[in-house]
Amino acid sequence: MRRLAFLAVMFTATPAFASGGEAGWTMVLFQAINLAILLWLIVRYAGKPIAGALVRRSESVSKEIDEATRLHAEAQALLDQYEEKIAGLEAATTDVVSSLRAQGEAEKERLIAEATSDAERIRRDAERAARNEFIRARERLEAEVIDLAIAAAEQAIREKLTPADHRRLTGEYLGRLEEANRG
Amino acid sequence: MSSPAIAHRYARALLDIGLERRNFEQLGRELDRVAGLFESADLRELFRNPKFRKEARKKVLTDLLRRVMVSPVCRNFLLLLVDRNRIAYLPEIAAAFHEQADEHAGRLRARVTVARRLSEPEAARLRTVLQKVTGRQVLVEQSEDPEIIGGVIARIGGRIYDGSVRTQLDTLRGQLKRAGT
Repeated sequence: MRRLAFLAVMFTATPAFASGGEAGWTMVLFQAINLAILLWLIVRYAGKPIAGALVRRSESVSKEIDEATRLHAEAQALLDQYEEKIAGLEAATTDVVSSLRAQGEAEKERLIAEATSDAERIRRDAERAARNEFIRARERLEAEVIDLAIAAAEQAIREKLTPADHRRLTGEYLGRLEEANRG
Repeated sequence: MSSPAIAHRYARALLDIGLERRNFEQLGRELDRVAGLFESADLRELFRNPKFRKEARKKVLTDLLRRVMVSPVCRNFLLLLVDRNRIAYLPEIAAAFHEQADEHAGRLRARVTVARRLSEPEAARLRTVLQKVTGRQVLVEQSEDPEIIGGVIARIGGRIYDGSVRTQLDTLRGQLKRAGT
C-alpha cells in the first residue's frame, strides 16, 4: 500500500509540473498515458486487495443487510406479536368489561330482588302484626263485652233472685244429684 | 312441726279420751263452739301475739269457757293448749278432730256452701242423696257465702258437686270467650 501511495504521488505531481509549461494535445496525451499507467499500476498492484476488500465489504454489507433483514423480520414479528397481543388485550378488556357489566347487572338484579323480597317480607310482617294486634284488640273487646254482660247478668240475678228462686235452684240441684245417682 | 301435724296429734289425743269416755261427739261439738269464738280477730291476736303472757291468756280463756259451757275434759284440754302455746291452732285441731271422729264413726262430712241457708227438708234431702252417692253416713255442714249468688256447692270425700249460679256464670263466660276466639 505504501508503494501504491508513492506511485500516486509521483503521477499526480507530474501534471502539476507540466501544467506550468504549455497546453495542448501533447499534454492531454501525456496525461492520458499517465492515467492509463496509473490505472494499470493500480490494477496490477492494488486490484486484488481492492477486489478482496470490495468482496469482503460486499459480504459484510450483505451480512449486515441480512442481519438488518433478520432484525427487521424479528422486529416485524415482534410488532405483529404485540399488535396481536394488543388486539387480544382489547378483546380481553372488552370481555372483562362485558363480564363486569354482566356481574354488575346480576348484582343489581340480585340487590333489587333482595330489596323487593325484604320489602315484601316487611310488608307481610307488618300486615301480620297489624292483623294480630287487631285480633287481640277484638278479643280484648269481646272479653270486656262478655265480662260486662256477665256482670250485668249477675247484677240482675242478684236483684231478682227471690227465696222461691233459691228453693227452685236447690231443688234442681238436688234433682240433678239424684238423677246422676240413679244413672 | 307443721300445723297440720300438730293439729292431728292433739286432735287424736282428745279423740282417744272421748272414745274412752264415749263422749267424743259431745267433745266435738264443744270444740266447735270454742273454735267459733276464734273467728274474732281480737281473740286470735290475744292467743297468737307473744307479748300477751300465758296467765293473761288463761284468764281470758277461763272467762270464755264459763260462758260457752264445756265439759271439764274439754276445759282441761284447752288450758293445756294454752300451756303448750298451741291454742292458736284450735280451729285446725277442731277440724282434725272431726275428720278423725268421722273416720272412726264411718261417716263422711259434707261441707256445703249455700247463698241462703238450706231448710231442714232440703238439708235432709241433700244428706240422703249424698249418702246414696257415697254409700256412707253423711253429716251436712252448711256455710253461707253470698258470692255463689244461688244454688249449692257440696264438697265431700274429695269430690265437689257444684250447682252454684256463680260457677254457671263463670262457665258461660268461658264458653262465650272460647266461642269468640
